[in-house]
Amino acid sequence: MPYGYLGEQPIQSKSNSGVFNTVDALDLQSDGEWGGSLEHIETLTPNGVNNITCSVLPTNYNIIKIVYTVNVDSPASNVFRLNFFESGVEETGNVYHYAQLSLQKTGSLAQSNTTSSDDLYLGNFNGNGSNGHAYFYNLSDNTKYSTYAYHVTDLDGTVYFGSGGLLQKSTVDQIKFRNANAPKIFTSGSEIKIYGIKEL
Amino acid sequence: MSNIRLLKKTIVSSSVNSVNLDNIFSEDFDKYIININNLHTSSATYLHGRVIDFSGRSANTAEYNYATLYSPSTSTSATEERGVNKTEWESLGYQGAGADYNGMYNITISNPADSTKYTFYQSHCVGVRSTPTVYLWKSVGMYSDFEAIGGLELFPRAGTLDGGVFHVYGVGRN
Repeated sequence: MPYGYLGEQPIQSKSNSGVFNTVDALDLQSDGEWGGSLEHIETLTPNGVNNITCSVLPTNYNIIKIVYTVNVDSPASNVFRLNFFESGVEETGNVYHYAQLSLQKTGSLAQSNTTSSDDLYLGNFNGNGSNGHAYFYNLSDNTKYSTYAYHVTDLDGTVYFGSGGLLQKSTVDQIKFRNANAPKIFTSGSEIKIYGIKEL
Repeated sequence: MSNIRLLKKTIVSSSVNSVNLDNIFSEDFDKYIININNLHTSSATYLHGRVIDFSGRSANTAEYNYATLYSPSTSTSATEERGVNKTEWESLGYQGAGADYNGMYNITISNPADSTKYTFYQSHCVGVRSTPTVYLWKSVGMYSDFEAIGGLELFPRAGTLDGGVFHVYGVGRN
């Protein structure tokens, strides 16, 4: 990772120790250059359960990113799901919207589209697991809809990608990740890492 | 320190025909992420893009190629669009008209400042057209010229850009 100046570099007349002092650090922080822009919030490690809910999300991010590897005890299609919590209350009504496309290893294209789901998709568990990432937008902004976009590959070789959201202007402060193939469970090695994209 | 570094932030808060994200690419990084949040256009329309070279010129030569697949939440359909030797990328994403119906974009740009490689993009957009129509929009493309590129011009197919926040990040090599 390069440190120091981006773009045009000044002609430096003093030697540089390479050590940041407090003033340097504060200057870099205010410019958004200190600490990078992907900030870890929480890592969830579901094991032996069929759902897990993240802690209350910080409100200083307009974009949340998750990166995950999940393993389950039984394969199934379209069963990795999530629900939002609005100000601490889980939304389970038929109010979610999404469009998902999946490219099967057999060469076919499958679709799932809805305007009245009681949860959102994050792909499936064929091959007993999946890996992927998703971006969530405007969760903490109660003047905007909460939306998301994701890209997943299951362990059987199928690619899933989709977009959707909760078209309600509310504050989403938690996400529940669920294996909807109940009573099947997440198993050892599952990780859902949650990051905030730093705003200035 | 994370390996994603903010390089530029641009806010659109009044009507403009296009946004120039110039002087964002350099030899410091090979890959860049552009996050656009709450892109607001005057019409329900596509987002287009062109590259900007290091002299500040928005290149309109017929060297843009792309392929797009999109699907709405309201019906089980998937539509392909593609183009070769176009004068711009014509389908980075889509959103509805007005302040409530926004597009949220995650765009990855590869090799823009490398004059030995073509420049590629991958775009994944969630576009709210209306209530209840949300679009999945996935697009890839290439600028088939070895010219080193310093930035991007983004503009709607119709109407104006009326709002949005653009963040450009460099992805560290190590």
